[in-house]
Parts: sequence; C-alpha cells; structure tokens
Amino acid sequence: MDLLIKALSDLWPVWFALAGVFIISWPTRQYTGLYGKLYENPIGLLGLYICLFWIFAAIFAGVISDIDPEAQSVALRKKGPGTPAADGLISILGGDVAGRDIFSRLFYGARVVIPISVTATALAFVVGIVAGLPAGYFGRKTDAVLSFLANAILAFPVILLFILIVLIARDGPLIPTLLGVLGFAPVAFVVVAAFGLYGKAGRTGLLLATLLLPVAIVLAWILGSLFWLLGWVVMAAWAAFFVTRVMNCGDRKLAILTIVLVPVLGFIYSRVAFSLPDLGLIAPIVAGMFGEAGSQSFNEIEGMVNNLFIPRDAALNVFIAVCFASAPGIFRLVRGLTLDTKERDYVAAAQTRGENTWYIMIFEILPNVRGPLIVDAALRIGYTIILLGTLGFFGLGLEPTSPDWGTMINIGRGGARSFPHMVIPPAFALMSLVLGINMLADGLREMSLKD
Amino acid sequence: MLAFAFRRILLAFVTILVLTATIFTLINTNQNTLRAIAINELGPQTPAEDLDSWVADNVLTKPLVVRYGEWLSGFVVGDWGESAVFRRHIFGYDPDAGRNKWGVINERLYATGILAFWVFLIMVPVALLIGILAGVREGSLRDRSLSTLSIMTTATPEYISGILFMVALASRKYHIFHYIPDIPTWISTGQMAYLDDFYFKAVANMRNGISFEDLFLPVLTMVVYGVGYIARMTRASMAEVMSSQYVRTAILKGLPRGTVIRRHALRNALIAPFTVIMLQFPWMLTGVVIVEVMFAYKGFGQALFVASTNMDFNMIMACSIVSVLVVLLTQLISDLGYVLLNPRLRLR
Repeated sequence: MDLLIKALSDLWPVWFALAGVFIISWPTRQYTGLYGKLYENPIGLLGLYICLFWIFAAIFAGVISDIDPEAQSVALRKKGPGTPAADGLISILGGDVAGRDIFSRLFYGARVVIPISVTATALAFVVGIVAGLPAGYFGRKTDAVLSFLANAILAFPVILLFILIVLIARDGPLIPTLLGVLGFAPVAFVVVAAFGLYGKAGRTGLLLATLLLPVAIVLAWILGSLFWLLGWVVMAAWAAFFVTRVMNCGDRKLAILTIVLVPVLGFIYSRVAFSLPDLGLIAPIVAGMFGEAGSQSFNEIEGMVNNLFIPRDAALNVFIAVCFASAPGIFRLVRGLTLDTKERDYVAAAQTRGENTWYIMIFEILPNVRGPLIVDAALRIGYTIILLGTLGFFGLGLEPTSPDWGTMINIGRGGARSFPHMVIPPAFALMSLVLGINMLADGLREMSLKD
Repeated sequence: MLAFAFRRILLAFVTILVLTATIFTLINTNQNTLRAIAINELGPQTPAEDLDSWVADNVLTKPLVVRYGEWLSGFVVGDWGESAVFRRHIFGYDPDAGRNKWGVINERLYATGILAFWVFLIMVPVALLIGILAGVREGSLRDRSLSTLSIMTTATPEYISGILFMVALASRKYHIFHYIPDIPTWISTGQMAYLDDFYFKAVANMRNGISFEDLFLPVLTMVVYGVGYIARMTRASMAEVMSSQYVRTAILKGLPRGTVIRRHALRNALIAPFTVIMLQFPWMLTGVVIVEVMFAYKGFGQALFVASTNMDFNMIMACSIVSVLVVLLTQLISDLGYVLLNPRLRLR
C-alpha cells in the first residue's frame, strides 16, 4: 500500500500534465473540432488519457524515476517490490535478473517504444500512400504490379519476415539499401505534392531532376565509399543537370520553391537513409584543410547531430521490419479508398478543369479519405507496439540492455513462474498503452461516423 | 468463376516462385548467413577462415541460378533435403530412416494442426456469439460491455496473456498444469546455435502423443488474442444488417424478433466474418510461433523459429513455402467463399 502511494506520488509530473491538458481542453472543446468531440465519448476519452499518460510518462521519465535504469546492483537482483536500493532509495517494483530497477525501466521503456512505433508507422503510412494512390487512380498495369508486390509481402508470415530481415541484415548493406528505398517515399510525396500545386504543365524536366536527387545520393554514397572524389563527381553531375532544369523551367515561383526544397530534402533523405549528414564527402576535405584537430571536432559535431534524430543501429532493423509488415496493409487500404473515391463528382470536376494528376490525387482524393486513414493509423500504432514486443520477445529487437517492454518481458519470462514481478509490470504497460490506443481509435471511428 | 480461380492459382504460383527466389538469393549472397550455415556443419568454435573455405567448397560451387534450379526441381518432386538442426529428412515418408520415418515438417504440421483445430473450434463459436449478441442492439449496455471486452482481448498479444496464464495457472508453487521447462533468458540470435539440445530436452515430454495438458495453455492463449478481432467484425456486420431496410420491413411486418434475427439478419451478417475468419490463418502463423516457443510445444512454429535462428537453410525454405501456401490457400478460399456466399456477386 505504501508502495502504491509512493508510486503514485512519484508520478506527480504526469498527473499535473494530464490535469493541465484537461483544464485547457474542457472549456474549449467546442472549438477544437474532432479532438473536442472526443470529450463527449467516454471510451474515446479514456483511451486518449491513457495514451497521454504514457506520452507524459515518457517525457518525464527522468523526473519520475530516481534510480538509473541501466545501473545493475546485486542488492536488487531478482528482489521483489519494495526492496531498498543503494543511497536510501526504494525500488518500487523490485529488480530484474541483472539487478536493474524495474520501475524506472518501465518509464524509460516508454521513451523507447513510443517514438519508434510512431515514426515507423508514419513511414509505413507514407510508403503505403505513395504506392496506393497511383495504384488506385491509374489502375491497370500500375495497379497489377504494385498489388502483386503488396500481396507477396503480405503472403509472407510476419514472424519469418522479421527473423530473416534481422538475421540477414546484420551488418550487411541491406538495411541502408532498404532504408534508401523506403526513405524515397517521403521525398517523392513532398516533391509530387509541390508539383501538384505549382506545376500545371511542362515542368516535367524539373520534376525529374528533383526526383533524381535520392538516386544521385545513393550513387554518390556507393561510389564515394570507393573513392571520395567519385562521390563529388556524381553530386556535381546531378547539380549541373538540376541547374539547367531550373534555368529552363520559366516559372520563378516554382524555381525558388525547388531551390529551397531540394537541400532540405537531400539532407533529410541522406540522414534517414544513411545516418550521415555529409555522405562522407565533407570529412576528407575538412581533414585536408584543418588536419587532425579539424577532423576530430568535425566527428564530434557529426556525432552530436546523429544522436539528435537518428535511431541506433538495432532500432533501424526494427524500423525496417515494422515498415515492411505494415506498409502492404496500408497500401491496400489507400488503394481501395482511392478506387472508391475517384468516381466522385468533385474528382471529375477537377479533371474537367484540367488539373494535373498529382494535384487530384494529393489535394482532392487524399483529404477526402482522411477519416478511415486516421482511425487506421491509430490502430496501426497499437499493432506496431505489439510487433515491437514480439521482436523483443524473440530477442530479435533492440539490444538486451534496452529498457523497451518486449525485451523486458523476454528477459523476465525465464523465471516468470518464480519471480512474476519481473514480467507483470512491462506486460501491463504494453497492454494498457495498446488498449488506450484501440479505445481512442474506436472513439474516433464513432465520432467520424456521426458526422 | 472457374477462370477467376484459375487466375488466382496461377498468381499464387508466381508469388511462391518470386518469394523463394528472393529468400534463396538473400541467404546465399550474405556472408553472415553463409557462415551460419557452415557453423551447423563444422561446430560453433570453428575459425572464420575455415567457415569461409567450407562455404566456398560446398555452397558456392555453381552459379546462383543453377543452384536455385536444382533446389526447385528437388522441391517439386518431394525431395526437400536434410535438416541441419534436426538431423533428418524434412518431408515425406522414408521407411529406411530408423526411428523417425516421417519428415520433420510432416510431424510438426500434424502437431500444429491439432493445436489449430482446437483453437478454431473454440474461438470461432465464442467470437460469433459475442459479436452477434453485441451487434443485435447497438449502443446498449450489453453491446458496450462486450465491445470493451473484445477490445481488451485484442490489446493482449499472446506473449503477454501467455505469461499471465503461466504465472496464474502454472506457477512453481501452485500449479494446475504440468511442469513447463524454463526457457533460458539468454536466448539471443548469436547464441542460438547452442540451443538445439535444450529444445530437444524441452519437448521430450511430448514424445508420447499430445495430451490435454500440452494443449490447454497454448489454446487458451491463442483464443484470447484471436477472439476479440472476429467478435468486433461480427458486431460491425451484425449492426449494419440490423439497421438495413429488409430487417426493418421484417420487424414492421410483425414477425417475432427471434425469427427476424435468425432468418433475415444472421445469414447476411455472417458473410463478412467468414472472410475475416479465413484471413485469421496468416495471423495464426505468427501466434503459433510465439505460443509454441513459449510453452515448448513441439509444432511447426517452434520448428520454424529454431530453424531460422540457426540458419538451417533447407528447413527455412520448407517452412517458408508451407507458410506461404497456407496464406495463399486461405486467401483463395476466402475470396471464392465470399463470391459463393454473397448472392449479389453470385449472379455475375
């Protein structure tokens, strides 16, 4: 009982944050659209607050837990809840096999689980949308090829896919290649959207040049790893092509837009795909100009940037595996919705106006199918969390020291029948978060049906 | 109809060809996996150079395409090769094979078949009943509570409910069910090569047939996760049918409520769940791996896990083909069944 009170009081920042959200949201619920409507649906509201609880728990993990989640102490090894730890602290949920505090690992685990599952689902969604829109809109051969690919991946059992990806991809070139392919989807999406808005006709040259950027980056990376000057040659050739296209496009607004867009996209793409900001092209020049000290400080800066937004290597494998498992399903959903929507009057009106195809797909069809997509996204995040846990359960996911819930369950399950305190907390954490997400999705679905 | 089925079967064959060719290429062009294959033959302590030379002498002897062709022709005539981990032939009946005359896949599929039979026998009626009861009166208290219950079960994956059941029903102190050997916690892919022995011991207690105790916890675990999804689909379908014109007409005609539900609503409401139930087979494949590994059940899923973590090449290929076949076959049945069950599609 004392422990329960201590646990609840340790969570004070979360309660304060939840109360804050509620105090702001309740009076303004009439003005916040779909979000405000959730406050009329008890199940959806409960789901929302369970999700918010875990999000705040992840944010405040450092404040909530006073024991270092990675520290191992003999005093805590396999000990039950309430065991005193070093420095007069009390371990609320006890320690695991390696003597690490389970209570702090639980909340640091949320920090690992939530970002990976959300970003992986987001990438899978972009891939599914980028492939699904043209498949549904153009039909015929585009549809046949893309649908065959999606069905082939779907026919493959998820678990075998995971094992193969993780085992084959270890230290191979497969992961960067796959990331390069999948990372192409967000770039293509943004570029196509921009051209849908601005490029009414005759801008295909510039479109081609922009779409070739990821290809050039991959080529530069491969050739640059042989000899760094070759990488520069590739990039220079692409830049020359790009500049001529910009000169010839004859639309100042579009030219400025692409010139702003391209470096940003290139940077994001090379970071997502290769976790390198410079593709290994800048480092040799820095070393040549400033010598040893220069390259050392360059490496430090690069390391800092890398830690900012690139998941660690093991997380990348998981990322790819999850993307592969989810993207075909999203593709089928988007394709079906597009097939259904493209016969509507507003699409026909846009076609009659002579709008370009990409504009119709992204600005006419996509916003009109957002309802089912939002609900599906919520459900998929829950499913992704379950998949992450599955990977952890098989020891295929993140490194064993990682505090994510699947790995915790895997480490604890050997002695689960003698020391249930090691597996029950992460099990309940995972279950509650997935339950919250499912309830939120259910609430959203009911809300969108009422409209 | 016949043309449709024929096209689908043709497409399934192409899918199998593409997928097996992909796995074959990936495994055969990767140094890690090739070394793992060599470790199965030479033992875990062999230095890397010896592994590489073994690979060069025994695996990379012919071009990739030729080797794939050889594997494929062997596969078609039923010669699926030897398993490196299980040390016996993979498929078919071999009268000269000593104690284990049936192949690994045959034996394991039989065990998993029994598991799947019981799972479906319990899961489908329970799920349909929950879904129908909830969907008949949408928004009622009964609907709310049953829907929340089914959401809760879909939020509890096998590896969680399995552990909770294990703690509750098979704990070391108060166990109702027989002793399940502890699974070492240090299972990680790098160490899997040493694990064969453990698995053989763990599943040794299943030598004399499959008992109630072997089945109870795995079946319970899988039913709990699967039941919610089918129930929710049934509920949605039932609710839609109940609000349709023909059901309203039947009620307004003055027919008793039970007759309306049984004769008018139920039949149409069960078309959609049929597809969902058939598509549960692919989900079963993942669930079966988790449950069989967790409870040391000597079935197909556990064989798949052991084979793939140990890079048992022939076994991986066999397992992939069997699982892909299961998925494609169920997709085909679900599509054909949908056309047959739905009167509007049948006319075409």
